[in-house]
Amino acid sequence: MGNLKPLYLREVRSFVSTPIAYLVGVIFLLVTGVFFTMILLDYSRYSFEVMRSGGQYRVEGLTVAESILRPALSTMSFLLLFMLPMFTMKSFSEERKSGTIEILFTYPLRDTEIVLGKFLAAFTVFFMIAGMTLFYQVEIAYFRAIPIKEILTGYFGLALMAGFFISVGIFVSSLTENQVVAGAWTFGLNIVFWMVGWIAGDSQSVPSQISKYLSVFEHFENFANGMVDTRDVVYFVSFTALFLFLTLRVLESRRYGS
Amino acid sequence: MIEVQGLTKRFNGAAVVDGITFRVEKGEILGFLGPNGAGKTTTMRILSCYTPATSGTASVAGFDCFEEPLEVKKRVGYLPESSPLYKDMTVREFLSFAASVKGLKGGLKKQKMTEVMAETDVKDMADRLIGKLSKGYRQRVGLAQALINDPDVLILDEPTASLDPKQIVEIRQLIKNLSGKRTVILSTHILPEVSIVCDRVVIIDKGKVVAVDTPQNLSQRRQKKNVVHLTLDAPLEEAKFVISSVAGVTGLTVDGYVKTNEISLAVETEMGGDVRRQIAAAVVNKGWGLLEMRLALMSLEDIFVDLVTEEHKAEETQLAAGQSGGENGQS
Repeated sequence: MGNLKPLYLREVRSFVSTPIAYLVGVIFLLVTGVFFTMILLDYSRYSFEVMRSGGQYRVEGLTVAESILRPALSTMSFLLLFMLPMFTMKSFSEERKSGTIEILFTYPLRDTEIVLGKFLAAFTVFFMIAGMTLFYQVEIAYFRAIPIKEILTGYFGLALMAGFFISVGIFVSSLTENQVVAGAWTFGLNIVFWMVGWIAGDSQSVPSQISKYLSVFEHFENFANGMVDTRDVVYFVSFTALFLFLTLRVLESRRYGS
Repeated sequence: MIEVQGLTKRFNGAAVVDGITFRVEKGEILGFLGPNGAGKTTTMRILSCYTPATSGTASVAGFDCFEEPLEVKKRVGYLPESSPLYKDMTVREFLSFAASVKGLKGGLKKQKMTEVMAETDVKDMADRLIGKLSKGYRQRVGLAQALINDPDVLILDEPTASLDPKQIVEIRQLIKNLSGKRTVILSTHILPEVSIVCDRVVIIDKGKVVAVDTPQNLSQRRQKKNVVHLTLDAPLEEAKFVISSVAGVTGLTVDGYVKTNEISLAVETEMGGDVRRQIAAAVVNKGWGLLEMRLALMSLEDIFVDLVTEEHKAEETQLAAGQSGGENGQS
């Protein structure tokens, strides 16, 4: 794994040197910022009304974690569906199209190092952009104590989910030379994984249990609610590992082909 | 240094490389010659461990390309066809990446980078983006990345393709300078390149080795006739008659265009026969003007075409024999 570092740095560099990461980052921060402001305004108006009513409408669920953090996390997780495919769509597609994959594959590197380098670089860029939204959460201190534990839990879930989407993106990108096709398929797959639980409804049948288990949304909900469940962690980590493993298999089989 | 035994590569059942066997000694420059689609690139990709062979073995510096690819890769500098490099990096950044990945660190890495940039003459371009470089410079950077860790073996796929004449000469000189220290395999479909740069030639066609020899031996061995090129100031028909009646002349063709006072003829003789004196005498005898006379050796080009067509003919005969045999069996 000694070669992971130069590979990782090269990948990060290629993000930094192209406008796409900045563009996506700015849009992400802008949209989340607008949503966050709206959420805060809502919260303050609501709490103001509750206060004025002299406690008549004391409603459940007016904690900071539930009325600010949770909708903010939902917004971000939904935006990631669109954002992360743009980060990963070029990872192998571009190497294949421009032929640099031949350089990469004839250097003394292991495939694992190549795939991990790409994964970690995309993850780092996500981490930096998502990390900036933490400043929004600090604004909460204006009203109430910052729910640090819930924030950490929520962002941990967000990171796990990003890892999952990134590994899907890298896998799809290893299948095609065309970046746009890679991006579109990644987005499609992400959406499927996101929504698959919705078809289940309240049914307890086996297929709906399975579809619920496969759903990214279901697993992420727990983190957004401030709960760390080992099953959710296992779900994200194992699916991420699965897609990275599939990427390795694709690289291997492509090698025989052309 | 490099041993290739019965190497075969099939794509969807069709053999692109078909049982190639050859070896390259340490310090040798081997030219890989063949028409487009002959299997040159595929062979080189197998040797650089980019793609595995379907059958047969290939080893570099004693390491098998399939069993121990990492060991082979450490010892091979490879320049893929048309030198694909990361366009969004500067020359220095890219070479630094290549050096790190190939296991160079700290002071040694810096030293090697300086050395290699001087060797390939890209120092002035060190901080330019590779995407902004001319084709010639990109090719040099491609060579630089292949050379960075001082590999024992260099594999260069069409290192002079799509360069301008000046760049071609420079790159050839560069490759020549590398010889002695390193073992080099280079592929090309430009024939003179081989005789200029290489110690030995492997000619391949349709995935098979057609000939292996030094460029000199090849031209001597295949030479079956001498050709004398003549330019005369003489009437065409009469000249044709007079020259073809000179003793020893076996054939005569009109070469190129005919102008009023200038005709060009190609005169063929038996191998070893030199009829230049007799021709000169005959021309002078007639009182014509002898404008040019030169003995042409069979060029590598002729040999190549010769070998390749011979091979195809042999194949056709085999095929025909096989078919008629089949028919006989049925009847």
